[in-house]
Amino acid sequence: MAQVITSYCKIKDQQVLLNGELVLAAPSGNADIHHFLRYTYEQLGCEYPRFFKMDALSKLCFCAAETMIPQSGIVNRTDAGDIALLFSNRQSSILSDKAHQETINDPWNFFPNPAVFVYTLPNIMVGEMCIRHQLTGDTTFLLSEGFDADMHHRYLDCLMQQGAAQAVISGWVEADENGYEAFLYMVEDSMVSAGLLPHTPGSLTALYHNSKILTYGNVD
Amino acid sequence: MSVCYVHTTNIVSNLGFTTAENFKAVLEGRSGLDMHAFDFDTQPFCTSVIDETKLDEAFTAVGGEGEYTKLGKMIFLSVESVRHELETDISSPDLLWILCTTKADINALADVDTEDEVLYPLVHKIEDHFSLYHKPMIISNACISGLQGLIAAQRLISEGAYRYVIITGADLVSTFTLSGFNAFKATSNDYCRPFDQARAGINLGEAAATIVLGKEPPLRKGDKIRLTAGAICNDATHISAPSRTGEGLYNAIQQVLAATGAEQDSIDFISAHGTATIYNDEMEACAFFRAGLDNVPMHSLKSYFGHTLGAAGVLESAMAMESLLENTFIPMKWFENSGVTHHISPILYPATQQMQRCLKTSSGFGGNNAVVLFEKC
Amino acid sequence: METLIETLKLQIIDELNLDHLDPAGIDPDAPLFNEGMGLDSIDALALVMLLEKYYGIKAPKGESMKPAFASLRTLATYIQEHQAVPAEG
Repeated sequence: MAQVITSYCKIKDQQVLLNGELVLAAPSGNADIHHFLRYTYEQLGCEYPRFFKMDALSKLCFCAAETMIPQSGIVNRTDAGDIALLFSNRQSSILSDKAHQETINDPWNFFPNPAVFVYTLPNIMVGEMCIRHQLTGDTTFLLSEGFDADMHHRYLDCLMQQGAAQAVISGWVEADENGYEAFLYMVEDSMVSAGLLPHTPGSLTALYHNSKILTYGNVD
Repeated sequence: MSVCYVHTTNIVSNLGFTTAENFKAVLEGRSGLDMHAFDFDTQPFCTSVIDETKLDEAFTAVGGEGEYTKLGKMIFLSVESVRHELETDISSPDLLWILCTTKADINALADVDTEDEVLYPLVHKIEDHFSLYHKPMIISNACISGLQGLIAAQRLISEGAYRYVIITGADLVSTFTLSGFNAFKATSNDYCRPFDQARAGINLGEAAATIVLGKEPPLRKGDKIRLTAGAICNDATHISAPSRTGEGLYNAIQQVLAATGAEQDSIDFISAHGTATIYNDEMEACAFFRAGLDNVPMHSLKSYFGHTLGAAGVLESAMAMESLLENTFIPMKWFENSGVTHHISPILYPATQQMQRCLKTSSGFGGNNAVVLFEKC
Repeated sequence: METLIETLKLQIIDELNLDHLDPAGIDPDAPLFNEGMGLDSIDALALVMLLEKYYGIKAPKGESMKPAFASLRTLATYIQEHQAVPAEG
């Protein structure tokens, strides 16, 4: 058995790519993250009113997961309790943290909003994914200054080798006032590895940095 | 999954700066919780806050110097305390440091503009001071962060990635978190009373706690503790409210029991999460009952330390290990009458008996539940 | 009353992250929770905050807000009954 990357999705610069192929591009002009996420949600065509309650980080992750998870068919192959989630980013829940901080800066005008505060934990994004896709396995959220392919690879390998998961949905999801990016990928054990992308730090680094260099079956 | 061994522990809280001091204080029935005023409310909040003068003295006494935040000093002190007990150099390539924190130096956000200032300067100071070989792993998974740190360490050690892992959990009492939990109507105006009829919510606390795990047993003589198994499961029902049936916690307990083959009646006690909110404690009691653990003596330590967020799992594990080694139960302070619908067996007295194993659980926002089994060997 | 209901709609949309809803499409008599506007337990807490922030009304601890939170109209009635200085003279 070999660990292979069976699917990946990237969202950046108003584009959504699945397995290296462009699946959605928002009309240029409005680069606002909220505007883009709403547009993407509508294009995805799913009915999920909870989406609107989420903060931008959770919405971004939702859009990437919604693009990748259903089409991958992973939930048909693997028990929901055997799929682990391993995520990381640099700035935690910065947008919600700032929004909450705004409400508590002035002791005389002090109205913290629970609907904002609940998103001041980066792992809520993962919790939202668990609810949406009914995943009940192990979940991890890490912080690091950049996407750490070695740490991701090592810990994901641990999860699978130690029997904590049969498959892992992993990624880097970051959103702040200057921009946003989501990189999600899925690792499973496979009997055949020919033509499939091996799960190595090198593959992760390549996929994270390049949106189009690797596609299945044919290399551009 | 192979076992790993506990080499040493430390707790920095307002009850003391070593595990032994904290254990002694708790057995004397002392709680670190007290009423503290915050500028945003006319009512004081019951919290466990570390005295900065005492912290400064201890920080300087162990050679700490330079610009450290309060949280930085707590972490420094905790890591420095375990450094002497290590069987290898702290800068060895065999060693990884894991930091578990929910909000780090979040107070800084009132003055700065980026989250970078909230976490990374502190991490770099510790990394540089101790000349750590590997980039630290930083876990931020709400209230299970601490216990997850231990589980992650065990997995990494089992896979042969490292021989030693130092796990530090640390969080502050901040206006940021206190105001949020208060907006959630989850804070109690009085001392928190886990699992009690009169429980009315959380008290927040601050602490740094550290546990060192190793691949082999420590060389020192006497009883030792090993981490036999750990598991993490998600409820997948709600982002803040726990599952009514304790589904995720129940699943995690089942996985740990199955992995170790431990019978319910061989477990001497459970160190529960027990935040003293209505829903959390009810959920835990339900999960323990479903797992056939309702006759196992149990406690929550929140009435001594408050809810120390990312530190809780490490701090409470260190206390549980001390309890095992000293063969002494830690009673649940301020508990009078059970306020959960399922049967529980709360620990009421610091009774002594030979003990072998205990279960430690944590649950948190995001639907997470973590369970670990510790055994004496 | 009707003005208060319209103001409430905008405040709820803003504080409870319901930007996708059109104020004109919200029925003041429809249930706020579950099948109606689809609010949940966190929204209930946000409504408590909203009452304090905009109307100076502190919801008493331990008292159920369920009757007041039934619909926009019951909420508006609750505000009128509990506000020290009513917003609409």
